[in-house]
Amino acid sequence: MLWPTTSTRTIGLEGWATEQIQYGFIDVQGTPVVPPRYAWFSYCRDDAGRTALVLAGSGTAPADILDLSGEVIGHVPGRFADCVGDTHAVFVTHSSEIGPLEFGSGLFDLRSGETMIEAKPGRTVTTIDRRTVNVHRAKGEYFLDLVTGEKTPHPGFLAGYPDASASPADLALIPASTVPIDTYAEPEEAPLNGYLDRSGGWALEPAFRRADPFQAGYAVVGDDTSVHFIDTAFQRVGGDWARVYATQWGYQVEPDALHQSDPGLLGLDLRVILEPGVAETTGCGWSSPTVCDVHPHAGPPQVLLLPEGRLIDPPEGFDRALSPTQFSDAPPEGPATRIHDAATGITFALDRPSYCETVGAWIRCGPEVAAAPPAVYRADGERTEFRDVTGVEGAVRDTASGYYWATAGSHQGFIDEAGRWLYRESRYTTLED
Amino acid sequence: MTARLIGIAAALALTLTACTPATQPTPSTSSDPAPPSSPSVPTQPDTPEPSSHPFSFETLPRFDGSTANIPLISLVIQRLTGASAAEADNAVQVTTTPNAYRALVAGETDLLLVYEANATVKQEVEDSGVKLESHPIGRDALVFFTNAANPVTSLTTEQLRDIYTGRITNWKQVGGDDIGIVAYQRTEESGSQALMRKYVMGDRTMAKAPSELVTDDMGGIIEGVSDYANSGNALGYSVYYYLANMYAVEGIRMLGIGDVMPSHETIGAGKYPYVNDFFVIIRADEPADSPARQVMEWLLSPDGTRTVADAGYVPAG
Repeated sequence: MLWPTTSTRTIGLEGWATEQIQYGFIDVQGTPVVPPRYAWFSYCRDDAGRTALVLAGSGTAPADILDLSGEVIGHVPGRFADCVGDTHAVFVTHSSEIGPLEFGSGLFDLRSGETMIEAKPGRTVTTIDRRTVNVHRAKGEYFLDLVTGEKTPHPGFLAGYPDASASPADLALIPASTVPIDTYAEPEEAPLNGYLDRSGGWALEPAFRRADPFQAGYAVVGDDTSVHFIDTAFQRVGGDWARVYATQWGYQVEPDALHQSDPGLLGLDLRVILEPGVAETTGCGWSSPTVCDVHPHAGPPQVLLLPEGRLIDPPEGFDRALSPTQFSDAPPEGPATRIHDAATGITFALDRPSYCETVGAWIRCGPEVAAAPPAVYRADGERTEFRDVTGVEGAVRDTASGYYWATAGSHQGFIDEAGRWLYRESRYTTLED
Repeated sequence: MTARLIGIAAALALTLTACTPATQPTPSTSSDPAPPSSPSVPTQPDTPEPSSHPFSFETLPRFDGSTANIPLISLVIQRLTGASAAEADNAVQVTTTPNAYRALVAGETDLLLVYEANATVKQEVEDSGVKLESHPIGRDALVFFTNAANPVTSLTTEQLRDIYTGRITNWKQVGGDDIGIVAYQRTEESGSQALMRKYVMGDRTMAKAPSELVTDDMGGIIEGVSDYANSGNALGYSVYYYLANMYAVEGIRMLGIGDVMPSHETIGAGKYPYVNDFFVIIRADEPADSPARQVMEWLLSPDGTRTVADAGYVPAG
């Protein structure tokens, strides 16, 4: 495995201070094997979801292919690339760095080192799943099976970007429209969308202005004023709504387009977690929070545990949930002064009013006072030497490594959950002034 | 996925084409051995007696400045608030020379410990109509450096000028090996570049960097600067304090100018030719009792001068 080191540089960009990240890598022994030189990277994972290769690039030269020792074993022809499993890569080029950008994407075989589909403006290669891509050309689109090489032309135009890590059942039906949708030019009128099956035919003829990808067996379809859910048999389920916002844990739903009201919450299985109009929620966004705050119009605040959708009462005086077991006394939109851990019963005071969040084993707090240092606490309230910690992705998809990228004083590096430095380097390795 | 790719590509393309990024050497290795025990520091810094430290973090003005001034900012915070070194280090966040000036003008920060701005930033400040009050507090210097394996130990101003205008292209022309000079340049906005203009180049047009070093090609620079550590053909410039005390890359050696090597002593004595002050700067309309003005006055007092020296800098003469 290669773990990314993160160096942040502040650069001036047209009068604005902009932070630019450069990634390097250390190996599993904690030895730096790639100096910070990349603007992006992408893990290529095998069938089991385990990282097998790394693509990384500066954004200005062909991307590198790295093995897990950090050695550059090849190059992808594009400046930007993403893995299709651990066998192929979709790469992107753009023909102009100044002015309108014209993108074209292609397909590269990581095993043979050969370009399977050249990139050129107007051509788009999109990953469907780890063995299938969709190829868009002006004259039409087709699915390409990367194992057999079989091309399956279809009558639609991909209407979105499938989540390649979704279940095979969800990826069996692909949203597509009747006309190509340009990424940068909104059509005057939204085209009609339906669903393609993998044999290249319409499983559901285009009839909707909106047709989302399937998620856990359901998809949102409809138009500007009314949407509903369908299942994989295209049966209407889950009621009618004015607006539906999909999240990783479920849906926020609004029943009435004309009258603003607090949205309700549905789980991925469409069960009602919170009826619309009964409470204001905060923190229930797209990402995968484990908790969010619920403020009923009548009654005391509650905390919603996600993704199970269970409402619990927070400890008295600690209305803001940081995790399923950790709470702060922060008022709405205000800083916290104390943290309570319900698992241990420990309550501790922060050094100064701060805005806090949990990061794995740590509680990271940014002070309200601008001149004061950020602080990182352990769950028992002990303040650490760190000013910042960030979780590090595991070797297997959607797992945590148990390691964190941390900064403390003039150093930065990897720590474990006990706060021990596994690798440490100076923060001053670039000529920045 | 393609959407993500295009998003990344677009964002980076805009960033990379719209800026002229700094050239900077990249370390080959820069690790420190991990400390053997728990990294935790005392939960609280020593609580200062109210009378012994004039500021707390709650009353301290917001600092910004040059990267090379980070250790000084940290020590100033320690002495003004009683914070531990670890806590003060964690409190320091700078946006680099040009951005610090902009932040001060915009009211986003209160006090700078900073190097001289370049002409463009000075003009921006003037155009803003915001008056700044500036006092020199320390002395640093523009230094040139190469790989330690390079036999050349000193250059003259004329030689540097010829190198950076493209008239000298090979190290053998200045007494070194027969190998091309890879002359890295800094962004026009950087504090180092302001000194480069002031002492070496003036208004002369700097030679266009080789294709792998073009300043709007961040990737090429990043790839290329590893040469600093791997070969002797690269030449770069920065400020003395940063290179001598902060920069964590091995295998770099500073060059003399006219056979005067940069050092604490030669900079303090003014023997090294490219000496330049750095400054404490506040907005001129800060009230007499404002925290920023109080800190500035403290920095100009004997206590402040001692702090500049204790942080390892040469106090202003």
